[in-house]
Amino acid sequence: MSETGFAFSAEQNQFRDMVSGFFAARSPMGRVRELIGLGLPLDRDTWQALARELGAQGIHVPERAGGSGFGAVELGIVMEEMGRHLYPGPFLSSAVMTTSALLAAGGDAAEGALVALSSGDRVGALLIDTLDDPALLGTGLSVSDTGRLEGTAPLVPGAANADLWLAIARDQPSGRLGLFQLNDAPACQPLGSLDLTRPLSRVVCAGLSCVRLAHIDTATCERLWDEWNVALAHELVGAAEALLAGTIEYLKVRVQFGRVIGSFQALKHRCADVLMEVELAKALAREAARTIAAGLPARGAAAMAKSQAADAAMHAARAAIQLRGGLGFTWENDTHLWFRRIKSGEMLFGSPAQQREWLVAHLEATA
Amino acid sequence: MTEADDSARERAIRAELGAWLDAEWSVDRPLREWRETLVAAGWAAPAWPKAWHGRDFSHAETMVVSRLFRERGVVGAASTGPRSLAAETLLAHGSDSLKQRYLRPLLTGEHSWCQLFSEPGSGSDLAGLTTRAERDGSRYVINGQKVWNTSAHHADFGILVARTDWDLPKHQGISYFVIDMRQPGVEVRPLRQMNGHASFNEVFMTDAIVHEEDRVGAEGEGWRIAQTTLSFERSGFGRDRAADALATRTGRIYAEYAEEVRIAMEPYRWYPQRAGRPDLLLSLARANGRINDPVVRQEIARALTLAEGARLATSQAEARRRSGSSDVIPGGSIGKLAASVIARQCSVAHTLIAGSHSLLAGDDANAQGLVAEILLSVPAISIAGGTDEIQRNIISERVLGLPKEPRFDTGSFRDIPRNPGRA
Ligand SMILES: Cc1cc2nc3c(=O)[nH]c(=O)nc-3n(C[C@H](O)[C@H](O)[C@H](O)COP(=O)(O)OP(=O)(O)OC[C@H]3O[C@@H](n4cnc5c(N)ncnc54)[C@H](O)[C@@H]3O)c2cc1C
Repeated sequence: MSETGFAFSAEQNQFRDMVSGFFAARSPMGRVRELIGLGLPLDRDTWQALARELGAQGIHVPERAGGSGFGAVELGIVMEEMGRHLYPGPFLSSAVMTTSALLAAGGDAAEGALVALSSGDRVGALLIDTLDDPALLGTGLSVSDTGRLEGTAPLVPGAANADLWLAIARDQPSGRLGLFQLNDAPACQPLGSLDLTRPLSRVVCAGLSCVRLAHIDTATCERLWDEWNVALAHELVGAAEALLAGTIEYLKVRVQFGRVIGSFQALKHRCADVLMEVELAKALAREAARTIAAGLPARGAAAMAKSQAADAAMHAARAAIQLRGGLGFTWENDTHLWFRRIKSGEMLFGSPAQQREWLVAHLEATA
Repeated sequence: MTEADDSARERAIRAELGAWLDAEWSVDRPLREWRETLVAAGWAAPAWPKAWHGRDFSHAETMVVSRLFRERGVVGAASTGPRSLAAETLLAHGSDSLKQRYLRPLLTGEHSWCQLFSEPGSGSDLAGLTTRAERDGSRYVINGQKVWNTSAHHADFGILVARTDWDLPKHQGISYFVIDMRQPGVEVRPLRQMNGHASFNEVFMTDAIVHEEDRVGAEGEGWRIAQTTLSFERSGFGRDRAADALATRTGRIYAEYAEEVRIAMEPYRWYPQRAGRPDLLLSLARANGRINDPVVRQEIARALTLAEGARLATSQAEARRRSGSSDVIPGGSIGKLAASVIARQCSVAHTLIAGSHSLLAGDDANAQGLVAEILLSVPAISIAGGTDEIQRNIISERVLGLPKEPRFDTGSFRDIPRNPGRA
């Protein structure tokens, strides 16, 4: 019935438990720290096990293209657990950004790339000239009539680990936007990044050979943004829940003034507020995933899910630091790693304020 | 259920109810008689148990019924005032005799109800109440004062918590009753609220009488039973609908309904406004030429996002409950806290939209005074039914498992500190 809310099926809940168990076993915090210390090389064993055991990279890819044939809801489950466990592999860039761009393009060539990405054999990266606004796509990257990619992708997530390259660029002289696959690896320059588990690179393309997979229109670009934002909303929810749970544990053991600090109302109330905000974010994220999975327009649902998830997760992160006192401000304590990941989730593909603007613009356009 | 099952079920309900309405519903029927028919057929409260006027419908199924009622302009069961709190509590804890006597006239609108919980000396700390219920043979004699009691000025019955034992610890000495409001020992005085309306009252009980069979549950179980009332009350916040459109239609039954609404609903004209009216934000912003202001748009989007999030959180929790999942946060506290936050965010947005015109009230003001009424009514939602602070206590202790505050009110009720006053 149209008023019926969304609930996960037993199979989906089981899948979540498997994903969560996978990250707990294969990517515990100690391992995340270790990889960060090494400059975040790709842990290829874990990446391939993630594909082999859970089909995570191709969870939303049709079976004929090597995927598991599920959709945005299951992708959301993976993202949520990834945020909870702070998995540092290039999932957002490869399995979300690059893969959904290929799915949007369709066609045989795209299918080949999808098979390689879904199997975990290849890691994809998508060169775009903006991480903020789909309306700015094609302002910096272009492809000449001889099939050469020119221009700069100033901020590219996951580029350091990639071995399959796509770009959204403007086809010259037609001026139309297209999705291109590069024939050779571009030169990529790692950038000092706030988010230690999802670093950015700058990629300069000076006449790289590439082939066009498809032309794409503005609506498709917006749809990609919606899908990416909904995926991120799930990651933010998982990260926020992990931080809140950790904070609660700390509040139950730390003693000041002769009592555990979790009995101080100021701290209890702050946690209650965070929980309420996260619960709303979770509900919006799930509905947005269901909307995308059903192939329905998701502009409004994605904007609401992303802005609420980002705001709730930032509140959870600030509380997680504040409620640990000095400990919360240390490098040693893991909280800042989540804070950094949440900040990048918040800012990628449009800040919460930008999402709110898109929401009202959408409501006005469809009124 | 899958979505396909859901829509098959929806069609079945619509077909059955539609045929029944074709046969029974007419705008020329007298209101009371129509409601008797509605109750007898089980369509007045389909979510209730089959044994008590209902059909054991889920929330989603009930929504199908109300949607069809709305589409066809059908007048439903009486719904004014706190009657549903009484009904849910009686359904959960009442004897068959109580259910037999009170549920039907509650649905038909023959009786109206009020909730006699808060007192001058104890509001948040409801268990600190000092209204006495003293046994006198097969009856109880009630003495004490209640306050902030919505609808008491026109109620026929009240759900009452009073102390039957002063030696036990505070939560254990309380009993739960149904009190007849139309008796000499009960005096009701309306109180005017900050928004100018008077929907709540103070209630003085002086040797008022309650019969033994009107006690709900056993003596001393009052606190536990009151939790049912309170959790139902919390979960109902934020669901206020805009003013009822049926009262403006023509036809005998609508005229009678309009009269019921006029008498019973006048003090509650402000109720939808306390939830902040997110539904009016975009239309008022357009009408006032503020829809292109980026600051206004931000605040509107915040309000709409929170409201949609709360709506979805409720419907998803219902869906999880239906699918037998244990992943459901109980008690309604999160929804009640969210309703407060949404209402406040709406009043911020409405103020921005109206600009300095938000300084006017009544007929001179923006949207016929609706905006002023929103601003002046929103504070209620953070107090009524348990304050925001109390909801945060409940969430942090019962959901997040954080430790309770140190207590100073254990031991016999006689010996613990309380506000000066009667009793
Ligand atoms: C519009 C409206 C309708 C109402 N209708 C009814 C009705 O029909 N029937 C009925 O019985 N009552 C009704 N009430 C009363 C309502 O339930 C009480 O006002 C409410 O529970 C608060 O109690 P109080 O007014 O005594 O405030 P207090 O309990 O004295 O609270 C004062 C302040 O102290 C805070 N506080 C108290 N205890 C704690 C604590 N442990 N931790 C942190 N902060 C605390 C409160 O949050 C509040 O901010 C209504 C109230 C309103 C506003």
